[in-house]
Amino acid sequence: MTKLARLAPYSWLAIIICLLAYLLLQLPQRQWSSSITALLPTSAEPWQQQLLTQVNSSRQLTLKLSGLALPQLRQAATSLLQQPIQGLSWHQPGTMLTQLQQQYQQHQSLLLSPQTLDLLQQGQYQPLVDAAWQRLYSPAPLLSEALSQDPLLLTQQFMEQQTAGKLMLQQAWFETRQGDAVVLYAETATDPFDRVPASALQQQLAQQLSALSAQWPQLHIARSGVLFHAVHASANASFEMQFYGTISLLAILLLLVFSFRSARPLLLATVVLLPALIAGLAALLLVFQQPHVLALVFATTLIGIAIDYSFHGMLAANQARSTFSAMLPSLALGLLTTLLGYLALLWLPFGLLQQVAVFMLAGLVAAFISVWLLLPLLLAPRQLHNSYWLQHSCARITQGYQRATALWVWLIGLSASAVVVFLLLQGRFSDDVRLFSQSPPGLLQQEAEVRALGAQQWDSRFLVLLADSTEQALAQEHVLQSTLTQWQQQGWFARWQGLSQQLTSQQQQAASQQLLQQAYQSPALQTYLSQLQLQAPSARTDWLTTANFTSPLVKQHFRVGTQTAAIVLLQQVSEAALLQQAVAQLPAVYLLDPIADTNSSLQQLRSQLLTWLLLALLLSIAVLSWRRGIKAALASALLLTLAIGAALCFSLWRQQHLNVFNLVAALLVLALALDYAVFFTSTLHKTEVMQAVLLSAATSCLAFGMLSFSQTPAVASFGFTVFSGVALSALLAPLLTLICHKEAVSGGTL
Amino acid sequence: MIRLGCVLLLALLLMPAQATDSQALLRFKPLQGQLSFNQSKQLQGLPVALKSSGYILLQDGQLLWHTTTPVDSKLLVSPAGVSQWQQQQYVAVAGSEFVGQLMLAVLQQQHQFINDHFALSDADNDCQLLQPLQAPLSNLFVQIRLCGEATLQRIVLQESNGNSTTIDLQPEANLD
Repeated sequence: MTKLARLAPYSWLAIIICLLAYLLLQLPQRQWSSSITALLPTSAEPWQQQLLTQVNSSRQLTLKLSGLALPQLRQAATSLLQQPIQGLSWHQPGTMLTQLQQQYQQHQSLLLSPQTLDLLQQGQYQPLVDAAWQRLYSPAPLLSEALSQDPLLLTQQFMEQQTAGKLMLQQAWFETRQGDAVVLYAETATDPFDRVPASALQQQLAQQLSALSAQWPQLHIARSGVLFHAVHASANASFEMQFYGTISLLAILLLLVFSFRSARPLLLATVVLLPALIAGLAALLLVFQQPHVLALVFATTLIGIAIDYSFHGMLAANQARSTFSAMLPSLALGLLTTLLGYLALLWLPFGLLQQVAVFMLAGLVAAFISVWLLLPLLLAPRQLHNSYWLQHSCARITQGYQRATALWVWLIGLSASAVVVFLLLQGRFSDDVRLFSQSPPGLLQQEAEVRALGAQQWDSRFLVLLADSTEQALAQEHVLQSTLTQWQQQGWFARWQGLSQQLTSQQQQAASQQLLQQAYQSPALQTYLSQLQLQAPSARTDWLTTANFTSPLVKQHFRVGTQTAAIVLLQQVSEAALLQQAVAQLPAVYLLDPIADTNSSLQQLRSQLLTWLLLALLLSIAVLSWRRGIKAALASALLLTLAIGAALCFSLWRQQHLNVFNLVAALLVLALALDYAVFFTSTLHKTEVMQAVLLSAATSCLAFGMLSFSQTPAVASFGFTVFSGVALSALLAPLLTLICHKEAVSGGTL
Repeated sequence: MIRLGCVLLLALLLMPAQATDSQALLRFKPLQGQLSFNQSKQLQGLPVALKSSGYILLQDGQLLWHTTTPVDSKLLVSPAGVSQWQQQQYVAVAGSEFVGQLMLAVLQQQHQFINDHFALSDADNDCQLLQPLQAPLSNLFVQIRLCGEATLQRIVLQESNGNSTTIDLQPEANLD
């Protein structure tokens, strides 16, 4: 053994220690993301992506208090507001309205409704005079100094023509008209997907709400907001990661004890697993600034794959040095094909899969190096007691497979593959991103309860108007108003909200003043003014602009590069397709639909994944053909097709449709099944191979099978497909020895 | 037994007090059906009061406020909000929800609404004062004065901006 070879294991250990030190330094500082949608690809243009990150309603939350008489509900709301929570600001709708009214009052006659403007432009003044008289004789209050500044009460009417809400506004909350509920709105300072601060915030709020419930046992509280769902998803993912990881580890330990009746294999498995996990995690943190917790849920499967390597390594090293050396090329070939599978994931525009791929690539390479360098150092031949019962069973199973004939295996294999492919062609895919995560029914019910109030619940789809300046955006939005009203009347959506409903452009205000001055000179207005003994007011120039206008709707204008984007929010969109068509006809107006965009990207991703699956299969066959000969390669291809196809069929039967995560799982089944194929087509002793594959498959089935019980549908889909695929591969792989019994001369070496 | 007797005695003593509170709230009989009204509105900056008349119709929890003189104007007030008759249809008037609710509550003597939003006190000459407890009503009105003997006969709305509206009501069974 050369000096370099002697130093290699220690150098490897030194690298692992360095990576561990890096992890210990980095882990406390890093933030973990928990949003599934944040990971998904987008087909939006750069300015749209920028806008989507800015137009973020995920920080809004709503609470509905009910179940008590109104005075008690108010007391409960007041008590909640009196205990401020850091990072949470409660809306003050009454204050906002008062502020808005004061601004209008100070700038009366500047803002006119579209109908008023039409009448002024057409010189039809009498209807305006009639409306003013009607308003003057109404018992409802008027704005201060309305008659002296705006004798036609046009700003008063402008305010009154704005859409009336379903809820009644109070100073710090809304109330239902029946007085049976109080609705509070708030905004979080932190991103709800930022796990640690979001959890802390949610916990503080939960404590306050519990205190309210304790004080008023009849109080019913319904919550709505991304915060509650995100914190639940995050906590759930963390729990599942720890739970399934622990179960997998325990199962592996039990298998080792059962197989070898010694604690030594535990140490040997640990020296393979630990470096794999350290390297995987370090690579994840090195490459990604904010890794996703779901990447770790998927990556707990590294334990399942890495343990395969330690089984092959242990069993071979326990035989003899020469057996270990003969096993290494097959292990390397298995690693190579698995790496190719994960490399395929790396090229897909899917953040989560890229993170899983990076974790697994680094972890698997580290696992292989650990088996290669550390196991021979720690395990001398015949040092382990291999369970006689297990060895005997494996030998019996191997003999059992020998009873079948190659011809029958080919015939049945081909027929079964044909059936599986036919069934798969009948199945359907679902690319709806909303099916990937699942909140608890209680939370969804609360969400629905709050949404039924319909106050500030806007659709995820919204319109965007692009303009060179805020002024121009306001003017364009103003022009669009009649079209929006028309679409609303056609029932395409229930309501819309844009800044132009509260403010018009400076140019428009100037034009309105000019029109009004003309109107004041008309006989109709002259008579009206003389009846009231009023003087016509002079034209105003104290314009109301976004710079001096305070309203939450001002936040619906964004800077996107050098342009201004004006957002028009929509409520209850029912005719999205018609809306999309109509918007496409308008210049500089866009309908942004983040969910449809993500779904369309997922559809593209699915077709890419299918292509990559076929490509990875062909690539693996090519590599196998190179090392094992064409017959073994074709037999392996049959095994892979059958295992993957059947796993997808089972998933189809279980879920009623397939999704992108089933395809990701199929890629993983390909990598794992290929490992089995590599070993069963090698020159290695079949009983040892059977034992290693059985142990590997059992651990993988445990690791992945556990995931199929996950509360997150995406993870459950993935787990179930891998479980079925691995189980079938392990069951079918021994048949490869029948149909490719004559191995290539070069088999067993790489 | 003595304890029970004390409790019963205390209950008997408390009963009239509670009844008096309720009666204070329900001082006027809830109005129903048709009534004629005369309204006088005194606006800041106007030398003369704006006088109008018409009728109100209170039916099925809704209020129709029909001004017939000097202009013809209709307002429909329901718990869902206020609508104005414009071009052969009722059009919702934003921001008047509270005023609408207030008118309904005052005319129908909905003590729950009144109690939730106003501090009540007695004034001279068979009048009662309603002072808004919180915004947005307190931004609109300084006080509301309700006058009458058994039935509500006069409403005076004193606005925060100095305007005031006096509404005189008179039952009138057979108005169209």
